[in-house]
Amino acid sequence: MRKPKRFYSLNRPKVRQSWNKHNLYNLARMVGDQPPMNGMRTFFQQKWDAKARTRGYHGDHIPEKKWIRLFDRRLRSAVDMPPKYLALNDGSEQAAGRGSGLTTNQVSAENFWATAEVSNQFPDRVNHPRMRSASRLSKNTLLAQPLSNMTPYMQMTFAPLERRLDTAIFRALFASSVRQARQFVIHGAVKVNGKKMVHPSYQLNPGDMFQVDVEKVLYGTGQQKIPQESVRFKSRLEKAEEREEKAQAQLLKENSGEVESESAEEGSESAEGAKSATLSEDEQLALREQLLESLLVDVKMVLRDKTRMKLSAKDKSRLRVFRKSAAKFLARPEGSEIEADELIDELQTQMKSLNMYSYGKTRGEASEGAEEGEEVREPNEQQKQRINRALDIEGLDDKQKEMAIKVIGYEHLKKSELRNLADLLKQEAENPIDESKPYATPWRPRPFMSAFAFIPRYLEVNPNICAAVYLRHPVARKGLGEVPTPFPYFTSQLAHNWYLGRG
Amino acid sequence: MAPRICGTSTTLASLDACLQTSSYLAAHATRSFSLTCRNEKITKGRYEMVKWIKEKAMNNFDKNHPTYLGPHVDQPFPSNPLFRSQSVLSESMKNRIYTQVMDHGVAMKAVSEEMQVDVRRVAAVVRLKELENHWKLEGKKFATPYAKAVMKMLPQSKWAQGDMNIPHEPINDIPVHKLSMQQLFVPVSESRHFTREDAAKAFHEGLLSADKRSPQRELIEIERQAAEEGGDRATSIEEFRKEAQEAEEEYAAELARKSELEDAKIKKSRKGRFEFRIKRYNSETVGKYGRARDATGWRYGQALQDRKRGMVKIPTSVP
Repeated sequence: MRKPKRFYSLNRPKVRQSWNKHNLYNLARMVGDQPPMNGMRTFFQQKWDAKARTRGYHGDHIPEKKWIRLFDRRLRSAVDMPPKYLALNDGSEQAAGRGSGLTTNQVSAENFWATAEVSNQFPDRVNHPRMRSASRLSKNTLLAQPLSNMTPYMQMTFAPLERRLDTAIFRALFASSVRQARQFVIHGAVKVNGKKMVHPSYQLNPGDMFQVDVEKVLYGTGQQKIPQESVRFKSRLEKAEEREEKAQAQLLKENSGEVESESAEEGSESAEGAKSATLSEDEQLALREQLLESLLVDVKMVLRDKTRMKLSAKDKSRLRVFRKSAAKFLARPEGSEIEADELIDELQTQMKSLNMYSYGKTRGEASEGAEEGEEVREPNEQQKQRINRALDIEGLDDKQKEMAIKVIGYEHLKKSELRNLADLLKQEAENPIDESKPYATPWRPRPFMSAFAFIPRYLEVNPNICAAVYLRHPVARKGLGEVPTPFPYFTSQLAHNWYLGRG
Repeated sequence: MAPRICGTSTTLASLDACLQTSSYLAAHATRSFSLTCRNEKITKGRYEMVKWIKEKAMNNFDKNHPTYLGPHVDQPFPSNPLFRSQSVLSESMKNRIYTQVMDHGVAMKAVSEEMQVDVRRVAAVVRLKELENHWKLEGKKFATPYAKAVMKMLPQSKWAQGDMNIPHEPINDIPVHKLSMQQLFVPVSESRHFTREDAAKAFHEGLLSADKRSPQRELIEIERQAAEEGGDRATSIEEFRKEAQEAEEEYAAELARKSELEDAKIKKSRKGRFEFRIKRYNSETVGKYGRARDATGWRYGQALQDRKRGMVKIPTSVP
């Protein structure tokens, strides 16, 4: 059914199956609550109102006619009967002695329950002032209190809808609203028992497994893409890549005196090819070392201030450029993916062959050792020159250069640092920045998702592969209705009465 | 966001507040020649929503642990205290279930008893993990960032071997039968020993008692043995595990035999890319009009109904 015009209204609000912020606000100010009973409305009016409000949440995208066909007056429930209780009592204890006026009813299955009970203490702080008045002694709350000791059958009124494929996808937290879940199904992103299912109204059977396309789930539950942000990131990345290219080209140009400047401008790779014939072996080695050093400048920056565990967007862009140019440096074909471990291994062998690899401790450990009497090696002129040149190419002014040297130092990368680098690269590969995605990258959950994040017990979900199993139909048990509904018992009862169709 | 004054959409009281917070009036004074009203206006309702989101929601709901609207800690819907967010299995629990069932070959019923997880859930966990491993082999990309975020937002059940763990869920749930939902008055003499068995009979002759409808019937027997004099729970549990394993193996063998029998009925022949599967079929079983429910395929002279208006084409089950 078409989405109504004012779907998230603030004046005449309705609770919806969605993670929208309007919906969160409406829930917080108790929009789903039963209006106070003042005897001014007829029974019919109350039922009508309850029906309208509950249907705004439960399957508002389903035509009324179809829902009426689904409605079932049979409400499912289950009782936990611990084996120990069944073994020790045969049921006669419930009635024995009743005729003599004895109350022997003290033993019941409940005494053997061991599962965690729901919390019943009111916290001091509430999210909205209206919640406070509702959580204390209002008329509705007082009326509802004895309900926690019985099975809330009426909360199961809309249980048949929970069987629908689109609702189950929403409940398994794979989509941010039922309408979105429905779209996923229609667009062919959902499989049931390994077969594509394009009917959102498919009624799941107990034991059915459904899978949703990972990309769709990431899109549905991830933060929305902000165009300006992606443009900013793109330009930053482009700049960084350009700088890197320039740096390589400059190095090559400096090293090949006799080769004309044109070939360097054409691109570093062709220049390398052209000049390899003219350079001696030593010179070639030196050139390679310098190339690698300029490659590692950015990475050092990321590694050295890795006190915080989370990578910033800037760090990620640095790592991405590094990965790309490292692949180039190792003469990989363009566009080919290279695993983090493999990349680090190859770099290590390269560095060993160029004598750029130090087996020593990391910087912090080394300075500790220095206090014991070992002297810290002063950087020699060559090192200073090399790092200065690498920074020159980066386009930093003197002050920035000073700062950068403070951070990255003159030494080569240590073994542990290389390992750290591999970890970082892996971390980056797990949740990368990718402009081609339809959601904000790196992936972050939608705002306010945690307020809506719950998985009812009749589903078993594996979020790693975005698959879930519909275990059984939802049931009511003592003090707990398994159907996730934002409405109180009375509203559901009125709605149930409406659909019973008895005047 | 402060409200912009435009026409009469705001009250005088909120106007006061606006004067203090909004820079719009000041800006408006410098552009005194402009008589047109700003197009973007904010209603009182919206203003209050934005204010609430900024003051309450922004800080409260972007956390790395479960946070619900309340008022109770585990209550996602403020008006419905009868629905609570219940915990899900933690990753370590799922892994243990999988290794117990797949690597050590423990029966699912036994795992369910040990970890206090419903048998159906145990089976589902194993099935999903199996799929996950398949994905790993195929090199498909997981939704790792999503999974990490979601698991942080959900309450999780923990389990440690040898500890007194809080059960994840009841393992012996008995669904309330339709026949037992009516109110019944059965006069019974006081001296009679009226048990669950009798109660079931009173509702309906065919209705089984709770003991017989239990999904973990063997456990009741174990508890009975343990309660008897000289009974040892540990040994009877050990016995139960063994028996459950045997029963499961037997069932698996039975399934394998059945599928083998089915396979034997089909004659297969491979021709290049294609495999022809030929099965004997009795043409007498298609019913009077050739449209019996389990009759095969399309037959000449019999129109297919599936394109007819009003015919429901949505499958009711996917095998």
